[in-house]
Amino acid sequence: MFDAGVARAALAALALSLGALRTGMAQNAAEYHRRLDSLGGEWHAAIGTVVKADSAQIHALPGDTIHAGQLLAISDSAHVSLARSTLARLAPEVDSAYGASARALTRRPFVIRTNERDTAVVVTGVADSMGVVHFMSSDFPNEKALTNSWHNKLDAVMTALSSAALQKWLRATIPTGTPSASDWNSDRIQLVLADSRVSQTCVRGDLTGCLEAFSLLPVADPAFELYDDAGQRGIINAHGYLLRQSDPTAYDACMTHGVRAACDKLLRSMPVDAIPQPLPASLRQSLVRYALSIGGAGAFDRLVGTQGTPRQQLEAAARMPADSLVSKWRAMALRTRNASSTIDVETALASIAWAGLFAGLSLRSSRWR
Amino acid sequence: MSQRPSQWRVLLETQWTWTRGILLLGSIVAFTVPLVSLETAAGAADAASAKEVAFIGTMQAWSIGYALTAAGIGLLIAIAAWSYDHRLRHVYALSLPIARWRYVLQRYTAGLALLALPTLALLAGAELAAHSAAVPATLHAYPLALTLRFAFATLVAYSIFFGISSATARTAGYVLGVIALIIIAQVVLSSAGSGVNVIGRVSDIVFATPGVLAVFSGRWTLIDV
Amino acid sequence: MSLAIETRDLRYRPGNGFQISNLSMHVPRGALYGFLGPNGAGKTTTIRLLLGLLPAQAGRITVLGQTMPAEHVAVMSRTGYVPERPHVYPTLTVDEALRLHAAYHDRWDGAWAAELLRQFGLVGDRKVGALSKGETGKLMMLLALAQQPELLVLDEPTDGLDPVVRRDVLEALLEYVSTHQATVLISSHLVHELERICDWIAVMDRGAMIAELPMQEFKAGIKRLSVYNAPDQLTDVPFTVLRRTSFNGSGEQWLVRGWTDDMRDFFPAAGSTLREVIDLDLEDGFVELLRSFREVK
Repeated sequence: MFDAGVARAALAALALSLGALRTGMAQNAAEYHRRLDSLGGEWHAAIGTVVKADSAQIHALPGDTIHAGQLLAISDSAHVSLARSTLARLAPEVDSAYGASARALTRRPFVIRTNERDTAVVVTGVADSMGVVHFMSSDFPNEKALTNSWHNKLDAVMTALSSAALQKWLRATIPTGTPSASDWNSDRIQLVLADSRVSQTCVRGDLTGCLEAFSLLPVADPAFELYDDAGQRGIINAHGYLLRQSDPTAYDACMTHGVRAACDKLLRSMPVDAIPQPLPASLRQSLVRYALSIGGAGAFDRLVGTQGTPRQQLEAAARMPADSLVSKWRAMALRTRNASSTIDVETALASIAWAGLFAGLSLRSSRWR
Repeated sequence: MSQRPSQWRVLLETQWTWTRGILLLGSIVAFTVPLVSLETAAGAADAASAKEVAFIGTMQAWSIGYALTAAGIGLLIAIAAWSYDHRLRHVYALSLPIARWRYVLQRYTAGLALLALPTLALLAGAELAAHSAAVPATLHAYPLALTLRFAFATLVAYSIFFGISSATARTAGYVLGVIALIIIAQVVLSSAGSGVNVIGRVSDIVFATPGVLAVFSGRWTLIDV
Repeated sequence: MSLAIETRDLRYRPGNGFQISNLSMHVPRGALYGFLGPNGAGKTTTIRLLLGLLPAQAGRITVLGQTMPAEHVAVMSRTGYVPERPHVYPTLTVDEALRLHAAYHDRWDGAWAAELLRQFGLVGDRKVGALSKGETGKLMMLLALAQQPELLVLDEPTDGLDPVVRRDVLEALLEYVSTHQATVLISSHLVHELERICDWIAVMDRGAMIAELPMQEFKAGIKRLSVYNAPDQLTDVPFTVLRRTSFNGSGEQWLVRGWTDDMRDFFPAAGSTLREVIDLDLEDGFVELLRSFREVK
């Protein structure tokens, strides 16, 4: 957990970098990358500072060590029982989800200690082999909240075992477990409402569109190949603050008068990384989770152990070609049909209660007129 | 006339004679809204690249149409249930050999039964729209969910106005007085330069679940992902 | 004497200056009880109090042996009511109004209702709101009678009706009363009508009951006397002098109550002369009674 000073430092770094972007207005991808890398460096440095500081505090505490399967936790004396019961809940999932890779967890203990500034919450994290605590957070000291928090930390720790290419492609943690009907429903909504051209063609059954939408097929010019005119204008609009200042004439011509050439010029001036992914990261997570769930035993080991592109890693995990995997995933997502969100149980019950109340008041109306 | 009809049935017939015009009009509107909303959504989707997004956006824009229809029908049926009793100063109803609460219950439930007509009309219209070719294959229709929401909204509107209508003029005055007080408080606070938004806070309470009008706010879309 | 209606010290003040105070009323079972009073006397308010349509502020009301308004459901199931103004929903047809009324009254006589419908010349599919005043009056009487009540409370039932309709309505009423031994409380300001049919009479004015007695007693006891040389101060008078007015110098006209012929001897003993005893009809008696009541007040 970052304190306010670190957050301010990070924000300052971000603002400075944005300022630099605005004044320099570099229009080539290399320049953008350089500046983004610089920003990222500052951010990580800031985080590192606070993590080390907290780590020192944690190690200064006398701690009890608790084991459950491959999992380990170091707790201050006040939270031993909570840590033990939370580990007991998490341990059974670990072996089935992570296979042999779970052994890595024996070197990554969870830590939990009292928050001296706010006793309503506890501070938790995951220590590395050097004793540095990562993924720190403040959690409510109850088993349910802590299980959720540590489950997320587990995902983060295990994701770090995967290749840089997979992490860059995924841009989120590797989820585990069998997707629920609710997960599929959420996926379906996100897929159908994603507004890139390729996501729409994917929804309509074009497998190539699906592979492109997941970035599992190489695309030379994403802004032009993944998006149609409306989508491209949306991208320009999203980066309007910078683009308007870098090339006001082109921006005005594109956004106000719809001049195609001006829009193209603006898009070409943007770095590739600034073009949004056609599908949200949550859908990539969904694809990975699906690959792990149908891949059976050792799926996670194959995912993180395979060298190559994310496509090859997914194929290894799922033990099937990417075409088949994506096709099956799409079918699952679109097959799911949950109840409409037009009416929910709470609103229905509230309506009945209110109607009952007013009807009851009516029955008590006076006969004296 | 040899066999006495049931009290509830006769009251139902009575209320039917008073409200059939409203019910007919309400049913036509309820039947039409899904079809018209679908038509406009299909038109919007044709002109958009992200068809599903445009389609759903347009369908959702019709929420107000459903909400107003439900509120209007509930209001008018509730008022009609008591209209003639008010005109006749409740003398007939009060001279009947029945406890007041039972008579009110009979009137309330008879009105509820009549509300089934526009609700069924909406269901019919929604089902018809749901099976239209204009709905993109990737989207789903939820005619039953929409009808349920409509039914709950008419139920709430009807119950509120039935409660107010069945009360004495004094009680109705209290209700109006509370509304007036809120408005006056807002005016006074605003003119005093206070940033307190009384009406906004009341609206938040009333329109958010489990607020009394929560069923009217939010999504009313027939076609959804 | 068994009473169909009894009130004790009834009080009601609606807040507009008018009030009913300490009203006591006794309607014998089986009586045709005429309830007389000028407009605004409080007759309708009293009836509404009796039937539980208004809440009394004090006092006790018993109708058919049951307390009102606590037992209004039981009482109204045995009571037919014709209010002052039409109370039937005007959008209903006559048949629909009959169906509605039948549904709420256990003792509804459908056959007799049909017979009365024919007898009154009412058309079943006509809207109540489209009926003439006379037809509406007949319909309301029909509704009250066909439910076969033990008590009929009729508030100005013939007001505004033409003589033919009035006779039809009253005939139906009298036929019902004679066959069912029902009690009737009939309020009216049409004195002659009540004189013809009632056996009890009550007079109300300004929220107070000023007379309540059998019709015969009421009619027989009120006389106008022509008296000469009457003394200024009367002592030991065997009847009630309601009013004295002078005429022709030493002559006076007395309005008296409680008169019987054996009281003639009073005048010679008092040094005066009784020239003439004039019978008053109910209307004269009613008017004189009201006048004297208001003078006393």
